This record gives sequence, structure tokens and C-alpha cells, in this order.
Amino acid sequence: MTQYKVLPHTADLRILVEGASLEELFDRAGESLVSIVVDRRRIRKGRKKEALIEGEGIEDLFFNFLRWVHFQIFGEGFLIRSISGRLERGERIYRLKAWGESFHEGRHVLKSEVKAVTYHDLRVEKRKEGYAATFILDV
Amino acid sequence: MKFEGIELVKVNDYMWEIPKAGKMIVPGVVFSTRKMLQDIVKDDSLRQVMNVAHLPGIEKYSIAMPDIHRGYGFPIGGVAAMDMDRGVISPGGVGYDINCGCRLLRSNLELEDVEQQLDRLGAALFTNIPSGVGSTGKIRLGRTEERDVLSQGARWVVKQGFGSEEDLERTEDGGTFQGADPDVVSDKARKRGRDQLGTLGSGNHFLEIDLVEEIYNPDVADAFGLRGGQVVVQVHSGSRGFGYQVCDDFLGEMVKYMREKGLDLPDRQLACAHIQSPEGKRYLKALACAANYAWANRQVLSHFTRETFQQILQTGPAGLGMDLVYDCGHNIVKIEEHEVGGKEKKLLVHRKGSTRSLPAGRPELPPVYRDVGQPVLIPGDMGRSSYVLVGSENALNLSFGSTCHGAGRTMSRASAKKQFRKRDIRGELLKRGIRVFAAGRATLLEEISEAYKDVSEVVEVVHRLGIAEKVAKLKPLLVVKG
Repeated sequence: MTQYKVLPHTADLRILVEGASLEELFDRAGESLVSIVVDRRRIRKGRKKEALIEGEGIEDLFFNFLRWVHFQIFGEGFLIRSISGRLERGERIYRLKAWGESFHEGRHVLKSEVKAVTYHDLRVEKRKEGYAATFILDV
Repeated sequence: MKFEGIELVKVNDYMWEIPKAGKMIVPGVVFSTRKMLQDIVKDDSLRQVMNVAHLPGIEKYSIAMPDIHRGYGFPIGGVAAMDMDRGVISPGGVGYDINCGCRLLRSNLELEDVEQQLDRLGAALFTNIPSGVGSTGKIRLGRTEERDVLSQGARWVVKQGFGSEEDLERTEDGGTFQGADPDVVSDKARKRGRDQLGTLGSGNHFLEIDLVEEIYNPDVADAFGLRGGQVVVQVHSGSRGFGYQVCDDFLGEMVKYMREKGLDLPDRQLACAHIQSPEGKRYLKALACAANYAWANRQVLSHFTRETFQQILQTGPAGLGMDLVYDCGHNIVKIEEHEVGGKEKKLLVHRKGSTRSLPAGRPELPPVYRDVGQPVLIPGDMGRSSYVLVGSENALNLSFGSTCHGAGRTMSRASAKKQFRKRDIRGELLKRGIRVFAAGRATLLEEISEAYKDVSEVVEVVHRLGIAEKVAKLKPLLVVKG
């Protein structure tokens, strides 16, 4: 289930995610954020959530999307097993569905606390094949 | 001389200037030895010092403390003072953990009083003080109580019977950041903060039982109630999920503000708003709420600590004498008067990973320390030592009354976990007389001494510069980690 790489960064966690399309990149990045915090294989797809994320440009949208995923975990206690979304209105909206369940002590073990997703050095880039994103988590 | 493409001009053995370049409004200044610079230049932190020098209204220079390391936007170990009218306030200049800081409790105990009880004390502290990822506290706040915590900070906690008036006298700003307005705080932040009061958190947060190993300045130590061989307790924690969310909310708002105002800065994480703008004023009110949450949190944590000591050592409060020495934050902004160009001027000082360091005579100090100077608490890593310093005059001349805040990482958490995965850290520390209680092995690997600079080197630099002076050195006996 490893979909991401941890790159060196002195204080925090720097994450690299790749995807064949921008949508796959977004979904994988969101799922990776969950995987960093909790064993995603233990999350059941009991509940579906829908959301509409807005941003000014692709990096802003990506940042706001990751902030949404982060708040689901640390604010709502909703752990996400999988995400599927699509870009709309150019690259200003991400409309998504997320499947998962509420945090259950006993079944889910939180591995690390992520304070926030940071905007610092956040990049979404087109590569020869597909897309790549790097972002830093404050842990 | 150039280090990794950044020009550094030596001012003296402990101070280096980064001359103005490009659109920098002021130069940068780094407090460090030449030896420590070799490590500092390895990450991106000096570039971040230069980036901060681009912020509108910044005065004199963008400052880097000797424990500087790469942050996001601001470096960790950075200080920036802004003109109140022209200047900006930046959530990145405070950090996610708003008013994260340290408090130190003294005691009447010596090693022989606790030696046989350390395992029991550690186990009880670990049980009584919720720590680790996603930990929730024993205190559930109703809507009204939540408002009181956000408006009054540690004062509200003391009113509930969890501490004394003396605790408040020995907390920076009396444990209440003035100007807090709970109405500007998002529901998201409230949600994240509701059940986390009285929790330690994870990562580098800790509770430690230490022994005063060395006294450098007996008179000041005496005024702080410290003596050689004494058992003391340090608490390092902050505003938990509440503060993280306040920072995140306002970072988002300020990115928009910058776009609207056409403010162009080298890093988006430096997002800021003018201090006098509606956005700037709202952030300051929300920051005050988070600062109050952090003080309330540390006040609750010290109450649990005192209770645990009473329970395990079967001694009353008077016998234990666990009075607060001081509580001060190191991720904060303060409005203070400092001299700029020969005139006293009101400034907004960002301290991101930097501790206030005020000499005797400053009006901000509580009466008990006004003739001595402010206690400055510098936690080290879990295997070496921590320091108690006192604020000194040169901090006003050189660093807007600021000094370092800790050891500072040199190695990423991921590298530390990978490189030291075979080490028995718990066993190694125990051999050196340090007991560790932690929820997981990962935290121990991440927090290993080798991942940090030597705090003694950091402290030596600020002592030599006179931006804080050494009073006492503490050696860990027992560490509770999240």
C-alpha cells in the first residue's frame, strides 16, 4: 500500500507522491497522508463523505485538498481508506468522494501526530510521464 | 566568506551578518560559532533568514539563533521585529504550535528522596498525564468553560483550584495573553481543542524529572529557588490541536490577503497581513486565544504532576515545595518597546523557536524577578542536559530581548528512525541513569540525542554574546515522552 516516499527534511516530513493523472496524484496524496498517521489497511469503508474543495490554481487546490484530509483525521476523527475525485472548472475545484470510518480506539493505532500540512515548498509538477507532488508535513 | 552560495560577514566570533541582497529590506544576522555554521549551512535555514528579511516593516535585521534549523517559511530559531504601523504579522513567524513553551517546577527534594521511587513515579506520571498521538484529556470543556480558557488562560485553571496565585505571578504575562477574542476562532479549532486540555502531545514534547547538576550563578539561582542536587520538573508542551488549527486557518486567510494586496514574498508560507489590517488584528486576537490555551494546558499538566508526586511520595504540598520557577513560551509574538535608531519604539516581535530574554528592570517582569532578570528555560534533548539562564542586557542591544530556545535538530526524524533502528535507546539511557517512559519506540528513535545539536554549545554562544547568561544546568533522571 506504499504510495509515497519520505524525502529528507530536518524538522519535518517531506513527502513525494506520483500519479499518472492529476486526479490520481490528488487521491494518492490524500491516502498517503492517512497512511502516515494510521495503518490504512485496518480502515473499513463504512461511510462515504463527499466534498468540494476550491483553490486558486493547482498548487493552492492541492494544498486545500490536503488540509481537508488532515482535518478529517485530526478534527473529525474520520479515517479515510480511499478517495476518488475529479477536477472541475479548469483546475479550481476538486469534487471528491471519500470512503472510511470513524476512529475506533483498539482497531486503529495512530502512529504519528501531524500538526498540519504546510504550504512551504509545496510543488505539483508535470513530469515526462504523469505528475509528481512534494509537500511538507509539520510533525 | 561564502557558505553554500550565501555570503556571511564575520562581526565577531559569535555573530555573522548576511548582507542585504535582492529585495531584502534589512540584513540578516546569525548568532553562531564558525564550527556550528558548518551544520547550519547544510539545510536551507539561512536562505529562510534572508526570506524573512523581505517582510514589510521589519526593523534592523532578520535574526537567527544558534539553534536555528530549517522550518517552513520562517526558520526555527528566528526572530523578526516589526514596525507597528508599516509592519506585518505572520502566522508562519509564530509556528503551528502557538505559545509552545517550557515551565520549570522546583522542589524540596534531592536524589535520595526519589531514587527508589523513580520507576513508580514514571509509571504514574505516564498514566496520569495523557501523552502521545491523538491523546485526549480528562477535562471536558463546555462551551462557556472553553471561552474562559481562551480568554483567561492559566488564570481560569487556577480559579478551578488547579494551582495558586503564585503560579500565575511566575508565568509570563501572568498566564493570560491580553486581547483574546474567542469569537474570531473557527469551529474547526474549537473542535480540535475541546478534549486536549491537559495533554502533553507527541514529538519533542516531554515531561522530565531533572537534577540540578551545576550552578553557574549562585545569587541568581538562589533568587530562582534553585540549588545544586535539587530535583526539579520540566514540562514542554503547547496549544495542541487548537493552536495548530488557528495557525492553519489564518495562513489560508493571509494567502488570500497577500494575493489581494499584491504582496510578493519569496515563500508562500511567509503569508502575512499588515498588523493594522482587519486580518492582522483578527489573527492577533486568535493567537491570544491559542497562547491562553497553551498556558492553561501547562498549568493543568503541572497540577497533575504535583498530584502524582504527592501520591507516590506520600508527602504534602508544603513538604514537596513544588513551586513554579517560571513558564515562558518560545513560539509567539509580543508587542514590546525596544530601542531602534536611538529611540524607544513599540514593536511586534515574532519569536519562532526563540525565548524572550529580559534583563532586570523591565516592566514586563513579575515583581519577584524584576531585580534579577527573567528566568529563561532552555530544554535540551532527552539524553544530555537542559539549562536555566537569566535574561541579560545585551539581549536588548542585539536581539530585541530574545535568545535561543533549545538544542535544534540536525537530523530529520525519518533519517534518525532509519539510522538508529537497531539501537536499544531505552537500555542505553538507563545505563546512564535516565529512565524513559514513551508510548512508542518510533518517538525514541526520532528524539535520540544524535539527532540534535549539543545544547551546551548553543547555550555557550548565547552566554558569550550576553543575550542570556547561564544560571544552572539540569541533568535528566526521568523522561516522559508522547
